[in-house]
Amino acid sequence: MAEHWTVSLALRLDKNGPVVLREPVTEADLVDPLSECWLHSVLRRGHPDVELEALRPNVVPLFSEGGTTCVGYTLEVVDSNGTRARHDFTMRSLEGAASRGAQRLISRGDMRQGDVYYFEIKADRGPGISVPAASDATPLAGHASTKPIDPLTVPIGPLLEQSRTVGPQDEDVIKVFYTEEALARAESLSRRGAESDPAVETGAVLLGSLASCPSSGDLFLLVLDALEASDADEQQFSLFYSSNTWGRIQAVMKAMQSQPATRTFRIVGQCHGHPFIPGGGAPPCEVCPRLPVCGRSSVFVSTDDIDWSRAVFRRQPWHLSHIFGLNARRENVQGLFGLRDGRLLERGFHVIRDFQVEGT
Amino acid sequence: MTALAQTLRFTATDVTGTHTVEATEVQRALPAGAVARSIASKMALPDDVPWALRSDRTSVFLDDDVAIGDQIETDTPITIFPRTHLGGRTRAEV
Repeated sequence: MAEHWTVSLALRLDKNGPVVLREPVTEADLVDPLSECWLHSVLRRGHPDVELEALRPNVVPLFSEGGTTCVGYTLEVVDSNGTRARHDFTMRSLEGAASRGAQRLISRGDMRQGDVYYFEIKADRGPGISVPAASDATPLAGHASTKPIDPLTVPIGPLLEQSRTVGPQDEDVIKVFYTEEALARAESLSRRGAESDPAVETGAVLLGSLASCPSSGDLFLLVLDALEASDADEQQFSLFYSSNTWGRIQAVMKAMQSQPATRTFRIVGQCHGHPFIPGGGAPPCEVCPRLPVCGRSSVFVSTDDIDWSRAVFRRQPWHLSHIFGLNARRENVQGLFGLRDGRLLERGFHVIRDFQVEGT
Repeated sequence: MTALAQTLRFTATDVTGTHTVEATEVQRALPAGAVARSIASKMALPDDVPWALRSDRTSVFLDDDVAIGDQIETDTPITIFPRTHLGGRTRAEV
């Protein structure tokens, strides 16, 4: 029988100081890690029909060699057929819970906004992960359901052979294939706002399909189009999708899903521009001319980007955030971010000339 | 008014079309904002994000503070969306 653990975070204001807060780790804190575990340990192993809700998770702490410090945790899952899978996470995957604890310290006056704090995982044998605090939401009668994955069946080999790669490649993340046209459109729509004075943020949703390789069983993502976030509230440092923005996106998606060629299309991510020079417009550093690449750029996922993606793509661990920005040399740079270690981290991707859905 | 007439039923979908709730017996007198939170909870969406509802029939945002029964008829499809924005103002701590 599996051992159960209760996990919390111990927060300190000084690295070697006393613990000032114990923040419980809840089921809600583990939604992204659990989704990621589902993607890599279930869906990518040839089981695209297993639903996330069918998994029974258990958290097992990972201790350092001496056995005294908890350095991360393993999520073990068992599906309805009894098949077990596991995925390891570092403690940084719990930064959201740590941030919540920090906000608690700020609100009770024990810490100021922007102060540095330290956190570590504490694991105790117990009933298991905490259930989130009761929501104030009125219970709703009715039935909730989630759309099946419904991947296309596509051999991955020929796509890899004809593709060029962008950014660091890592076998541990789901492979992403952009068509040349979709990538160009994503960039064009994201950089449109840079032409305004002052520059504003503009963007698009990324459209595509999940696909499963018939020989390896691996699941991967095809990004086949980008749909402009029109009628959005575009500001210097923010982009808000209005009711009309979402209305148009939904109308287009509905039309696409009614056509055989685009039946499996779904929103697989978002892209937008960060059309500003990093460091408040500061010039490149002194050594920059001697470096092949400028290391300072506006390509990052902000806390707003993270919160938006967490809300829009809940339990869709393949989702992407593509940021098109500038470096300190004012050169165009870009970065694709995907879920890894429960966080949105930069990752590489493949670019293919074109993709046609078979039978169309 | 009968008990049935005091309630609504509708289908709510998230913005990606991935999650759906077939809601029944929703009190007409409930403010739309409270219904949005209930739908988010039922879809297991984050509870620390402000949620809003939009009628797919009229493309209009529902007013959080007004009773849902005063804003939609039964069987009106609705979409739940996050009232939050993208943007590079705040760099995430890494």
